[in-house]
Amino acid sequence: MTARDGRDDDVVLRRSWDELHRDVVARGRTLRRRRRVLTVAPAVALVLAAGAGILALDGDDQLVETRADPVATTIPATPRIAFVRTFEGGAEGSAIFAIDLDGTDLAQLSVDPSWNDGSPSFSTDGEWIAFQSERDNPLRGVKRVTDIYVMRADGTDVRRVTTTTDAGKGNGVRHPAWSPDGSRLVVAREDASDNSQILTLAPDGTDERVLTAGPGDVGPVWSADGEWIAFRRRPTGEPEALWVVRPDGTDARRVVAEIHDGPLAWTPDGRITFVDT
Amino acid sequence: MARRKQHGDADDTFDEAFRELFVQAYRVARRILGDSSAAEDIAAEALSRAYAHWTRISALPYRDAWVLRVATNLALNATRRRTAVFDAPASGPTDDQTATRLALVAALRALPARQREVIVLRHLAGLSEPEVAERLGLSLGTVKTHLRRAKEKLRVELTPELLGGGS
Repeated sequence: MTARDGRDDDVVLRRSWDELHRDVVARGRTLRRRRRVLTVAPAVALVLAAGAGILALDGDDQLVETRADPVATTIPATPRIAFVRTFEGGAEGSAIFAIDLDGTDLAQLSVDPSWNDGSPSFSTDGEWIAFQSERDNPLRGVKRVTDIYVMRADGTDVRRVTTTTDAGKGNGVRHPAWSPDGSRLVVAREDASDNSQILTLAPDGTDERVLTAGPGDVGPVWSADGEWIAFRRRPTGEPEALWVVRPDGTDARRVVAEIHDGPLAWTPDGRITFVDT
Repeated sequence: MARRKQHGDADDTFDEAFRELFVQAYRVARRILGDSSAAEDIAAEALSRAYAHWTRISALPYRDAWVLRVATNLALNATRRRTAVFDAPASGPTDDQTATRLALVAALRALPARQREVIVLRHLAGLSEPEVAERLGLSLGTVKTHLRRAKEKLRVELTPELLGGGS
């Protein structure tokens, strides 16, 4: 059947709208069931901040969507999570908030949304949050250049970790995540050629070690046992893929050839959650 | 029971949105694949995935963008499996169209995900810049920035011919 009416007259279909709808719903239901079978470990919960609300995902669900700016964080030892709220209009930008898992004790940790704080990552002991921010970007409002900072879980004692010296080139450093023992941070750094690499460094910014050469390596996360770092690689002209590498930069390997952009996370038993295409 | 009720309500809103979303996904896929039949299959797959996630995405401001992103990715993936179509030598009008489509596919693949998404919404789905901003939950300035950067990175010009006159 060819669907033709005033709105859709360029849409030429083999099947009727009713047939298509039935087929789509049937396949969608199959996907729903499959999604529940192929679950991630229930001990892991990801949190998605969407607009003014917070969407906590069930243990049997995968994260289905996020914005370009990573908003999810793994759960630390304490029952508290950090998330990013995006502001529009007068106070345009983003800010980091923290909240207890039961939905109480909401606190804004970022002072000024125009700093575009984002990608919060709790240390395993729950004492520190690493995050990216544009607060020291001399081109803020013109060009997005972020650096990495750490702060206490209550938002105090902010310390700068990285310093992008030439804000005119690349987009700085982003996507921090802690090693399980809290001794290192893993981050993604974009150079002047828009080539993003994964590197680790001490929380005081010293002892930098570059793990990957890129291109387009972002969103690193450390496994619970400390043995692996997962990251997303998005080379020009190729699908975004899921990769892992040892913390010393060896044994890099591609795990999934094509994934959706979105945050990665490790389960305690060494599985990786990602957003499927 | 609560979950069943939730899915029931979600199914209703999916039914209401189905045709409009399908048409958008179909048009984007057809622009990439140049094939109505394949576009129908891609749109159906994209809508199936939307249905599976509907309780999550239906309330999102960037719901439509989510569906179009999936359709775009599926269509780009499909081009890899359709080498016979895309590798045809350019010698006639039909092959010119194929070459144009090839250029568009190469251009889209070259972009980071967010820039690709903005280009698709702006030029393939034909939305205005303010509409793109609204659908993606971005400021207008950010959308303009993405568009500018995307065009800077493209190896081909986004001519009206390449975009099928959709912009």
